[in-house]
Amino acid sequence: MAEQDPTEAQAPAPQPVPDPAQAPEEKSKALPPVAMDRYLIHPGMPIPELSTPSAKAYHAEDKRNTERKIFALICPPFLGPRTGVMDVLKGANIRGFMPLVEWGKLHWPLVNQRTIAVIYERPVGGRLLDQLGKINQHEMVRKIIEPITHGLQEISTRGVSHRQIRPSNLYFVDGAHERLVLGDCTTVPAGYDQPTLFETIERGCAPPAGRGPGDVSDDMYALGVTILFALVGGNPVPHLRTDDDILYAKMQDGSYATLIGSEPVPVNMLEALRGLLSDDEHERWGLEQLDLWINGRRMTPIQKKSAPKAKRSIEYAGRDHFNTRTLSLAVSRMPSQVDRLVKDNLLETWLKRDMENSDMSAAASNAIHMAQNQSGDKDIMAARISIVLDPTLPIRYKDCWCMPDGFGTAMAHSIMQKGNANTPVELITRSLPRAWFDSQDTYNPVYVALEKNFDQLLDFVQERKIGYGVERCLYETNPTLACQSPLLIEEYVLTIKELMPALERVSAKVDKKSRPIDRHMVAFIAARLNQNIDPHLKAVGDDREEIATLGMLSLLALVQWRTKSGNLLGFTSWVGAHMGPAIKAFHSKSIRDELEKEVPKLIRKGNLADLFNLLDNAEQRAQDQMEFDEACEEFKEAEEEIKDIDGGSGALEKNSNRLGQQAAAMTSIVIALLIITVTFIGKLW
Amino acid sequence: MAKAAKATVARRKKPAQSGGLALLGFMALFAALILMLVSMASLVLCVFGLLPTIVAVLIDRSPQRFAFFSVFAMNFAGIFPYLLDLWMGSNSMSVAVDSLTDVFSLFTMYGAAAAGWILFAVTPPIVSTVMTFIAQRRVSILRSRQKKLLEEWGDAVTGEDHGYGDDEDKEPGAPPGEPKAPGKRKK
Repeated sequence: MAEQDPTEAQAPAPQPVPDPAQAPEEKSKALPPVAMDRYLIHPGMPIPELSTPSAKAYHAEDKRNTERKIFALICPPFLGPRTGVMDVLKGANIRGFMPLVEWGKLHWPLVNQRTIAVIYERPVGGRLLDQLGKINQHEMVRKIIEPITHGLQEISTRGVSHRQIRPSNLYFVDGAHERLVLGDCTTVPAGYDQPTLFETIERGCAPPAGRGPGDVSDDMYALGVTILFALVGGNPVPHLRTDDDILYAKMQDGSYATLIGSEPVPVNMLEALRGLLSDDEHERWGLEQLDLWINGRRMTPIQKKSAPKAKRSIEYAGRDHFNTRTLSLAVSRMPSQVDRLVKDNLLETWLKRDMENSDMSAAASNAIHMAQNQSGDKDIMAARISIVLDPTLPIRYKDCWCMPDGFGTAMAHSIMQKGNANTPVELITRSLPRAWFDSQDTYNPVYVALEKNFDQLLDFVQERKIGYGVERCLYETNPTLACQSPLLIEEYVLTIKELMPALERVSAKVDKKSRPIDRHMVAFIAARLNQNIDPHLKAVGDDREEIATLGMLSLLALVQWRTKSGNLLGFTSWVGAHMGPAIKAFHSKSIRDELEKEVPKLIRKGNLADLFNLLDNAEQRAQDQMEFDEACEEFKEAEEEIKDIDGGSGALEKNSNRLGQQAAAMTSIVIALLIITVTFIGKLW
Repeated sequence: MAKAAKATVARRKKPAQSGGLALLGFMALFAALILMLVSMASLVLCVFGLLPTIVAVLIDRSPQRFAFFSVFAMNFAGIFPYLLDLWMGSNSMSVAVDSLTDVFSLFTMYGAAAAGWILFAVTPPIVSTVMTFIAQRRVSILRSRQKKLLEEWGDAVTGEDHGYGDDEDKEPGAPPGEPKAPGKRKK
């Protein structure tokens, strides 16, 4: 039963990027080891038995202690690794947890770009998967449940959930198979590598990228399934071949009944399995209850609660559905047939008469009405109806299915793997998250925060300017995603602090004519810099080139200053080459000439703030503007006067003729008066 | 329409001109009456001595009558010495006739009137030339100033290619708030 790896077989493999393990062996063997601080990682020495479905394991070496047995997992660069969890686990030495020695970035030659490597102490006893059925049921608690519970308790107190609990990710650290530890949970988003069987119905319905981080309750469920695997020696439901088979079976009969089935399970384990495999999150056993059970306290077994069943089934997509859960899933899987449910109020009637649920019938009617108002296409209709039919299942729209807390990874996956940003964006703009939150029966404070986040995402999506849009949503919802700017993709910039040094490195090899920023970079800065930079974004997105240039400079200067990145000669030179519009914004040629002389001097200092202060001297700019206005006015007046003189030559002639005549008359009168006076005086003399 | 307007203007001007002429005639008549009572010889001397002025009044139809004033002033200056001879002397008709029949005195009187005419004819072109010269000089100064403005401020100063300028909101000191001196704010 355990010959084939059922857990690995069901694991998702959606990555089209070059797979290190599939690289030509000769090529990888020829590659030299890659250094990461004091550790050397050998690309030519993969360890398939320690690899996870997404992260490949390689032999590693501690330069200070060559005897130490360690290995490295290389994170796939296209997914957001759980760097926060890495920080929590690094050096923590938690019992029941594979010790995380170090993590860091390195250039991985097999994918030819920078990515994250996580170094663990190497377990020598192999995987639990290889020991399924070999562990005595009386040792089950001591060898499996107790250490894993302890490990989960430890990380739970640190606010971390594991979300990768499965037999293929549990390792014996010793050759005697006595000490079991939890394997890696950091290299991919939470639940990404989990087979559907190990996920709760709700999170199992979502594709790997949309499952969300979840919490310890999801870990308890996965632990229950893992225990069952160990008890029965492999997959207890090998006949359920597809994910949908598993989900429909769990929905109809419940997880416990589906997985236990007719397997001979020791009576002492039934109580724990019933508690761990409960489909009701509130009834499912937590760490405290499991700890009490381990210590011998027996509790009242959870009574099996079957989902409300309809008197008569409703047929949809080739299946007869007796409950709303399976119907909800079927509607999402086959939205093309949703018209059948809407026609003649079939769904509302079925819910009211056969399910005897008037409230749900009214909600469905309302959802249909809302969908019809929103263009009424089948996708939105199916999405809204499926939310009403089972509000606990993920939000499902077209091919974007996700739990609300998994929207970020689902979006990243859709954009980076499928190149499709439209569906996640439509999911937001069509208010499906709001519909999901409105449908929830119970109050959950986490949902309040999530709902607020979705409102913010809607604002970002509706603003198309640089610094907003889908890119901003991507980085806001994926705090550990590397900057996807084409300029920085190889640099794998995870934090804002890494941005400027990466740009400095990039500046050495990039064509200086290309712009130093793009939409991804600005959105990355906006999402990662813990500061309101809306004024900068407004300036960067301004239609006027000179304002956009100054905005770019101010934004980059701010990042340089905030991250204390020191002097960046190459990058400043690159940015300085794009300052033309900002210099041209000055009207005065003498000021422009002066600035053109000054800019190269400041570029040599490598400080963007100095460059910005030079170009954005408000006083100088105001003075320039004032003098320019005066010059304009002077030019205009001169032009008008010249026009008056040129255009009025006829009038001038006429005027001068009249003036001449007047002058002649006056002259004559004056001469006459002189003559008269002289004559008179001469006569009297 | 234009013709009608011109006709109206002409109709309006005629009474004014005839009114001016009538006033002059009335004033001349009044002066002649006084002279006739005081000195008949002076009247005769004035009538014949001021013949160019009478001609000028008839010829000059302009409202300002600058030609009349030019000729009259000079003409009167020309006959004034002979009038003074009458008033200071015997004031008899024979003295007046002698003056009027003397070529030199006639030359003085009419020559002075001719000088008035010449002055009237020559001054306008001179004034016009001077004024044109001043205007050209002014244009040259203005063009030179505009050239300097263009050199300093570029074509935008002409007002035809304004990037921005008049609009307060488009003031280029734009990136507002935070970007201001990120390095120096801390100091």
